[in-house]
Amino acid sequence: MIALDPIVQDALTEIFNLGIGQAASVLSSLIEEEVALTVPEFEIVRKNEFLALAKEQWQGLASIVRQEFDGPFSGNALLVFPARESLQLVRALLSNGSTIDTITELERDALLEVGNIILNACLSSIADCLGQEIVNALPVYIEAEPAAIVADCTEDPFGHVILLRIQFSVQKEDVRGHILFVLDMPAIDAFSQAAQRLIENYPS
Amino acid sequence: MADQDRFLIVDDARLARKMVRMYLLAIRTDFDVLEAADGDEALRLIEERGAPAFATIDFNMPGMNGIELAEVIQQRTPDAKLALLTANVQTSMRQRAAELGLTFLAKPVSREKIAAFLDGSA
Repeated sequence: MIALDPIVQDALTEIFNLGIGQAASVLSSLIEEEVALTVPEFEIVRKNEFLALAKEQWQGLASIVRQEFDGPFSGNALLVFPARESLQLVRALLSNGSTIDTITELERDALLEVGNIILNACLSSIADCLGQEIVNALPVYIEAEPAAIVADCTEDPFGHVILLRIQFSVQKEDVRGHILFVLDMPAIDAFSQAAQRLIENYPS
Repeated sequence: MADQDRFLIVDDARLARKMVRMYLLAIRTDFDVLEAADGDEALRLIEERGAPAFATIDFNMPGMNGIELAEVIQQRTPDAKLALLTANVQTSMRQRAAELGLTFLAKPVSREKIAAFLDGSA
């Protein structure tokens, strides 16, 4: 694990926290339920550590919305739900009482749009905090093992990634999800520099 | 010239189109609602069915983006009232919408947002 300057790490955690707070607010208004957030866990880890963590955290298939982004730093934002819980969430959203285990095309579209809204809320908040513009690609919906997707998010096998884990839960639906940001080292440097500039704008 | 009873929804997400349609028809049942999944389909629908008085347009879509589509619609139908309805709520995106005279609506859409767009208070 790489240690950042504690002040920069604190600023980055807060920036992500604000973004995910915005995302939770959006999710809450979509499903008309309170959304609880855990304290964000922020680490910069080697890719192989990251894959081991992902395998430990999620067994089996998950519903994933992946959004690539570009700009002053580029990377991938992932919204990850266990497959069964994603169905509960989307059926709450669509007021659909189906008990079928497989996802329908409409439900897949709905999950993609939920992911689009959540990830964009988060990325928009981060961009505004840093005073920069982030350009988002079209989001994609994938059912896969999260470790396989995160492995695909960075080409450098010896690189590092930011692992930001925030669990959010919707009590009534018992749904838990994670938002992950995967950035390679040049992007982490650019992101840290942007955070440093932000800190310098606020005199201590 | 825009048809005052026609409303165009342009979004690649089916859920987003369904939500706008639902809120819209809860406010006014007599709209002729057109739905398109991208800019090309939107322009084809306008060609075939006529220009809408109102349109909500997503930003991030396959093909042309929502700003590019809005520019084309504005050139063809200057009196159409257009809203950029997007999850991309960055300040830069709001500014681009404002520069074009578009109403900015942040996703998720709500009945209140659609009502405010229709009455010009959004």
